[in-house]
Amino acid sequence: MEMQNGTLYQEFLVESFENLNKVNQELSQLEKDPHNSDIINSIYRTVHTLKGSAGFLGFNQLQQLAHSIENVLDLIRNKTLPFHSSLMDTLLESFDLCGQFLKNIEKNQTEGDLFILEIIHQLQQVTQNRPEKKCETDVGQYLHKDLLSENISSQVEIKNPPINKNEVTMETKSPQVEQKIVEKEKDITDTTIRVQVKLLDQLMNEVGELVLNRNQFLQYMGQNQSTKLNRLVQQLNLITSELQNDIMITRMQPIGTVTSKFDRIVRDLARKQGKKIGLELIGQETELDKTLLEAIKDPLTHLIRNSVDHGIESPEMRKAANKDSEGLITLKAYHKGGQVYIEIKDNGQGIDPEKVLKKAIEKDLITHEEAKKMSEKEVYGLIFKPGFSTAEKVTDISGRGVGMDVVKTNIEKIGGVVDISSVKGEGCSVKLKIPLTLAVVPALLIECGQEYFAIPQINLVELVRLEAENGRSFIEKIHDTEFFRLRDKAIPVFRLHELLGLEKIVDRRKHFRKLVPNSEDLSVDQQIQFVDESSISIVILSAEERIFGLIVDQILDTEEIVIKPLGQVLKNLKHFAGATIIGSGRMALILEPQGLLNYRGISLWQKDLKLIDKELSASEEGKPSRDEGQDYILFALEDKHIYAIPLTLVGRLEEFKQNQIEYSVEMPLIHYNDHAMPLINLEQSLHIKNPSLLEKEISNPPLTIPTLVLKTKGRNFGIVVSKIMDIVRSYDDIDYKTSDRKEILGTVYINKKTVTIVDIFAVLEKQSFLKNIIEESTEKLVGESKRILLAEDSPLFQKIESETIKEHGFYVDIAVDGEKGLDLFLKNEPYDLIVTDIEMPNMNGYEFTEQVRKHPKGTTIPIIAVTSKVNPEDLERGKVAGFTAHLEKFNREELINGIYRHLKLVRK
Amino acid sequence: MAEKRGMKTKQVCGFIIGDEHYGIDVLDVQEVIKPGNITSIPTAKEHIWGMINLRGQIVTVISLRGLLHYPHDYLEQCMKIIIRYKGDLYALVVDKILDVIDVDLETFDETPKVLTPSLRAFIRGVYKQKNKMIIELDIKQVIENSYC
Repeated sequence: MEMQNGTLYQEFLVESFENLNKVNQELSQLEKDPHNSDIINSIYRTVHTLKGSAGFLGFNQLQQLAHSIENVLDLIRNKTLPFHSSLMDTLLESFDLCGQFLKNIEKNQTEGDLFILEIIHQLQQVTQNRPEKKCETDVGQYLHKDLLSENISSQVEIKNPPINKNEVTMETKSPQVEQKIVEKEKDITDTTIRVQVKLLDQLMNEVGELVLNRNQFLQYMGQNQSTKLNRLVQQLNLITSELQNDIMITRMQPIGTVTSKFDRIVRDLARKQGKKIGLELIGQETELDKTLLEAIKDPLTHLIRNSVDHGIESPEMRKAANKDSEGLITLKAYHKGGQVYIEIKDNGQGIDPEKVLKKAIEKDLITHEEAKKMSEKEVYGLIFKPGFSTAEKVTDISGRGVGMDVVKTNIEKIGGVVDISSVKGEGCSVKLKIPLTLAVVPALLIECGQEYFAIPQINLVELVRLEAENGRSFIEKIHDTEFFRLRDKAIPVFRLHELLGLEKIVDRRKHFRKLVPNSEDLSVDQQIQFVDESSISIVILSAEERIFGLIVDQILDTEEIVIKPLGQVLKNLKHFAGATIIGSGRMALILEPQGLLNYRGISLWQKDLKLIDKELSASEEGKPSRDEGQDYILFALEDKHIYAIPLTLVGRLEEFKQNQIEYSVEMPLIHYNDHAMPLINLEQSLHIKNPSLLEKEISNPPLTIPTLVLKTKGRNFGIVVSKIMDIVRSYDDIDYKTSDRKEILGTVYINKKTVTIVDIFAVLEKQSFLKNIIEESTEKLVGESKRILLAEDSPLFQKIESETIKEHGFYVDIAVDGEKGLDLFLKNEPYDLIVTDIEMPNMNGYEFTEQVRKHPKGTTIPIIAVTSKVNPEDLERGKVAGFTAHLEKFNREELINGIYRHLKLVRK
Repeated sequence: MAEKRGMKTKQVCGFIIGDEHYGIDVLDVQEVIKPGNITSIPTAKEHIWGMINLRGQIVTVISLRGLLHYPHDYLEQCMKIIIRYKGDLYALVVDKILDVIDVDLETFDETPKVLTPSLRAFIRGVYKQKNKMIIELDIKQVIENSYC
């Protein structure tokens, strides 16, 4: 037999020997209590298992024998055949023979040749003679029950002459038996013991500790020159590694222990549904950690059931589709790259994307628009969404509440990945990627606030290091939330420092260090500790399809870690998955990305931020230029359409509770940052029929009201929306022609979808009740009497920039390009300042500035260039052209500050 | 506990915090160790100092000074008492460790009035010894109040 099947045989032998022992005991019990159906059933089940596993491993004779025994037992079980002592003899003999087979297998890995025909014949006789015996019992009806059974037993003896032959067989067999007795100490049941998994866990822990101890030895060795010590430590090193490895192996079991049951499941289910299905199991000897095996058992069962139920068609349908009437499900397990892959493949009808989409829309998981632009892969992904089930009718096979989402979460819980692929009409394949063992997990170590943290590799997307020069401009900030632009995608980033409040910890640490002067390691760490101010390290993580970045002090190294649970008192800290002890003996907390997001209530991103790879594929589609993009915040209103406003206008994203809203006459207000902030009903302002969330009755629990907070005219305003969707950068021009009312600026094409851009200034102007506030606030402004010329081609920016400037009381003239700007400049009284865009039709910002500078009126006037890109060459060119300052377009604050600065005004 | 049982005694592991003498049932105590490196657990309760690695086991460190609202000036010779509660290990940081003390069960008083209410929640009662009062800590309360 192949060596790789070794463990499987071992398992089989241990189990079967144990079972035979049990059966023997049960048989003798049964003799005393022949009507105990529990015992009969138990024996029946055991024999069935034996038959199954023998057949599975290809021991045909044993299987045949077990099959015959099973038949007899079945009759006894059904009470068609009464149990009596001579039957008992036959059964015992058969079981002895089974034992003999097992011993042969143990010794030679083959069944060997034993005379089973006789005994099988004998067993068959028992079953076949049943009708005759029935007659006998009819005759014996008048007899006493005990007598009856005696009667039948004698009948059997008389009617079964072969029994004598059987005795002969037994005799021929006996030398073997004797031989075996001599070698008994080799019996596998004597060489294996059953051990509690818990004990193994404990062993594992202790060995882990030994490993650390060894590591410390090794470190110490580095400083020490003693050869003898060196040699001893090397030995210790070797032995420890071996020990660790061996203990790891003790926890491994072949996947066959789980999958062997599927044969039966598939057969039963197929029969129930009138389908013909074969199951092919490949790689059953592939070994996995015991705890992992337990964890994948249910998901695998579910996948198999799914294949039977939804995958394989009925024989008629298959024939109609020109397929073999018998379907095939293949379960293949194999090792690859330190992980275990399990593929469940069927040659059934595959997944119908149309059906999936229809269902998803029905169940409100996605909208029609979303459905239209989904890739096939994304469609399959829907199957894993909670609340999804494609089964047209709920059968008792699947659709019992255990959806694919559970499969996915269970597999992900153990650090695995589920991947689904399908060809309609040809079948479907689900691939599970599972770590070999849970005991050791690859993780990235990072440092923050002088503490180490570990992040499981499975959550890592990528690592980014930004040098300071770029660093500053790459991290953008909307008040409290920071963003990092990774390949044109705005990813929220958080500082682990702030997230976990590490300052406090550092203080306490200092205090503690005073307390424990002998803590050497700590002081060593302090020495090597340096926070590199010149660069930022960002760890990009994924948490259930959300991507976010974590700014940490330092990225260290990857290490295989052993996850240890935190104590009960800490179990509510969901942002930690546990702790681990790393090589140096230090401990590190393991971060749980999803928990981290939840911890600070970071639920901004209602919609999953799409995964990076999708992002990448989108950027390949070729965008005009990456520099002239505009960031929008996308949101939905009650009419379910998607709207956008430029991100630069938004100060913060907030969520309020319905019951926090107060009213001053008609104006909805919310207490925000110690001020009453007016809330704006956008639906009303845009003449949308559907009433705003603001108008909904207060429900229990109160609705959450997503709000965009804008700061303009020196005040905060809350724009109430239905759902904040995403932040995207668009390179497309705004189509202003599509504007049908004043409050709408136009439309832009984002992510293959047309999005309406709201003119927030027009909306604000319309709010009659706001007029007083606005007028009141503009009165106190400094900028009056200063005149500014703005050259800007994009109507959107004209709006944003001019409104921003006007807010501060400046007077603004707008030119749509450099040429018009120059006209205005030459024609009008001297301006106090010029703000110009760079990319403009007819005459660009450089040319415009050069022209202005040439004119006597324009030699000293401050010219501020605003652009979305600021790189060294542009700066140089700008300097040559005569820009006074070069500012970022999206940053309104900076623009205003720049204007004040260059007008030498002090901002209030 | 208040019932009279003659001269029956019980062994407690004695320790000092501030000026008070405390004790916990010696059967709850696994061992006493010197303070070593503590790894902080950010976002946990203030009095949870962090965790230590005790032969491969994660032990949560609870500062009794913090829990019992003593000022935060620790003595240099502070010690950790390792206790086991519901399968988890905890290290209680105390100022100074005393011997194992035989306390006379008869001197037990469940509701001593001398204690501040904030303290009372964490104690089972006091044993009046000849020269000193031993306050018996209620391990259950100590742990239950450390949940984050």
